[in-house]
Amino acid sequence: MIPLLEFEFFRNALIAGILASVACGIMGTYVVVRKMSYISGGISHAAFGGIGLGYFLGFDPILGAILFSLSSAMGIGYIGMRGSRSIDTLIGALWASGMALGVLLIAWTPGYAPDLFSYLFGNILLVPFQDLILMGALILLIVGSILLWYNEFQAISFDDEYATICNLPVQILQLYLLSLVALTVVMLIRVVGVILVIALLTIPGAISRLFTSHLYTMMLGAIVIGALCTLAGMAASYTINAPSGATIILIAALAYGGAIGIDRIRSGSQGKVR
Amino acid sequence: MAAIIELKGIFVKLGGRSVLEDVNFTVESGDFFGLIGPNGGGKTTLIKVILGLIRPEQGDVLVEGESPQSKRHILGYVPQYRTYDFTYPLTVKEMVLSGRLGLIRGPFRKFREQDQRKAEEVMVLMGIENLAARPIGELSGGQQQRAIISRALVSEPHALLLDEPTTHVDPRMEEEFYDTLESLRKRMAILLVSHDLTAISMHVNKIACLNRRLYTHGTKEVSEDMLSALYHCPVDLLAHGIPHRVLRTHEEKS
Repeated sequence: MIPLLEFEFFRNALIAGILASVACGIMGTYVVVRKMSYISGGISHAAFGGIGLGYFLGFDPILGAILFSLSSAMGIGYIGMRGSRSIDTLIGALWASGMALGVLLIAWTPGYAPDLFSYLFGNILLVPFQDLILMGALILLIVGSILLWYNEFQAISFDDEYATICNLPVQILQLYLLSLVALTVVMLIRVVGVILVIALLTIPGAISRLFTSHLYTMMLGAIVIGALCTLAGMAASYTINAPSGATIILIAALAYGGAIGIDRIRSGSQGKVR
Repeated sequence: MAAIIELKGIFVKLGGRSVLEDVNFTVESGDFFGLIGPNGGGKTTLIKVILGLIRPEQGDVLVEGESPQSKRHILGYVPQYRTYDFTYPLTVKEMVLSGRLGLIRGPFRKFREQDQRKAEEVMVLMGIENLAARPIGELSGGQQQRAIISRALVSEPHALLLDEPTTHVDPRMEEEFYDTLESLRKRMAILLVSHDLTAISMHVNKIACLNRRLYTHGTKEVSEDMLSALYHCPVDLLAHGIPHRVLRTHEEKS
C-alpha cells in the first residue's frame, strides 16, 4: 500500500478515513448509549432525497443532503419530545420516502448520474480535497461542542428527566446533539454511503462500550476502533479489488462479533450481557 | 413549620383519563411523609407534578412558595429504580456528581471543587465511597439504589422525594435503609412513596393514601390517621410487608 501514498486521491482517502473515524467515534457513542441507531438510519436515508434534489436542481448534492438530514433530525427530535407514540412508524416512513424521493428526482434529471452508486455505498477513493476541509470544520465543531457541554450531554443522555429537574435546557441540547449526528451522517455518506452509514456510526461505539466505563473513554476507544476498521477495510478492498465501503463495514462487523465473543469469555461465569 | 411543598386542588388528566382529583397536601420541614396507595393510584404522577414535570389541569403547586420550575433545585428526587439503563458507561462518582448540575449556573457547566467535595461527602454518608470509580452497571441492586439516593442528596435538598425506593433493596438491607432515612430527616423533609404500608408505618409522622383522591386527616397520630386513610384503600395493601414490623408497632403502643 505504501507506494499508493504518492497518489493524491489515496492520501485524501486516508485522511478522510481518519476524520470520519473521529466524527463517528464521538457522535456514534451518543447514538449507541441513547439507542438512536434507528433515528440515524432514518436521517441518512432521508438525506438521499436531498442528494436527488441537488442533482435535479443542479446544485451540489452534498448541500441537499445536509438540508434534508438536518431538517429530518429536527422533525424527528421535535416529534419525539412531544412524546408521540408513533415516532417509530414516522421514522420508518421518513426512511423509505427519502429514498423514494431521491430515486424519482434522479430519474427525472436529464442525462446520466455518474456517481449515484457512490452515494449509496460510498467510495472513499473519490473524496475531493474540498470535502476534507468541510470534514475538518465539522470535527472542530463536534470536538468544541463536546468540550464545552460534556457534562450536559452526559446528563441528558443518561437521564433526561433528572436533567430537566436540574433545569438544563434539555430540548435545545437534544436537538443540537441530533443536528451534530445529522451532519456526521452526511460526512459519512462520502465514505460508506447512505445505506451503510448506520454501521460505521454504531459498531465502533458498541465495541468500545464493552471495554470502557466512562463516556469519554468510550469515545476515544470508538475513534481508534473506527480508524483501524477503516484502514483495514481500505487495505483489504485494495488487495481483493472489492468496493471500499462494503469492505470497511464487513470488517467492522467481524470485529464486533469478535469483541462480543471476548466479552462473553471475559465476564464468563458472571453471565453478564451488556 | 415552613411549608416546603404545597399542593392545592390538583387535578391531572393523562391521555384523557383522570389520574389525580382535588389533591391537597403540605409537606413541612421536619416531616417524614408516607404516601401509600395501589399501583396506578397516581403516586408517581403526584411526584412528577411536584417536580414540575407534569402540569396539572387545575390547581397550584408551590415549592417553598414558588413555581416548581424556579424552585425545584431544592428538591432531591429518587425515581423508580427500573427507569435506568445501567449499561450506560458511567462511574458512581460521575453519577453522583451529575446531581450538582442544577446548582451550577452559566452556559457551560463544569464541576467545581465544592461539587467534588460534596459528592465525596455524600458517598461516605451512603457508604459507597469505595465504589466511586466503579461503573454503575457492576454494582448490586442495593448499591445502585444508594448511588441514586446519593445523587439526590448531593444537591443538599430541603426535601427528598423517594418513589418506591425499596423495590430492589434486599429485605435484610431494608431496615438499614430506613435507618439512613431517619438520620437524613434531621436535615430535610422526606416524602416517601410506597405501596408497602407496614414497612413505612414505623417511621413516618404523617401518612396519606392516594387512590386518585388523597385520603388523609392531617394529624400526626400515625395509627388513627393510617386507619382512616386505609379505609379508602383496596384491602390488598394490608397483605404486603414484614410481620415483625407490625408486631413491634403494637408493642410500642401498649
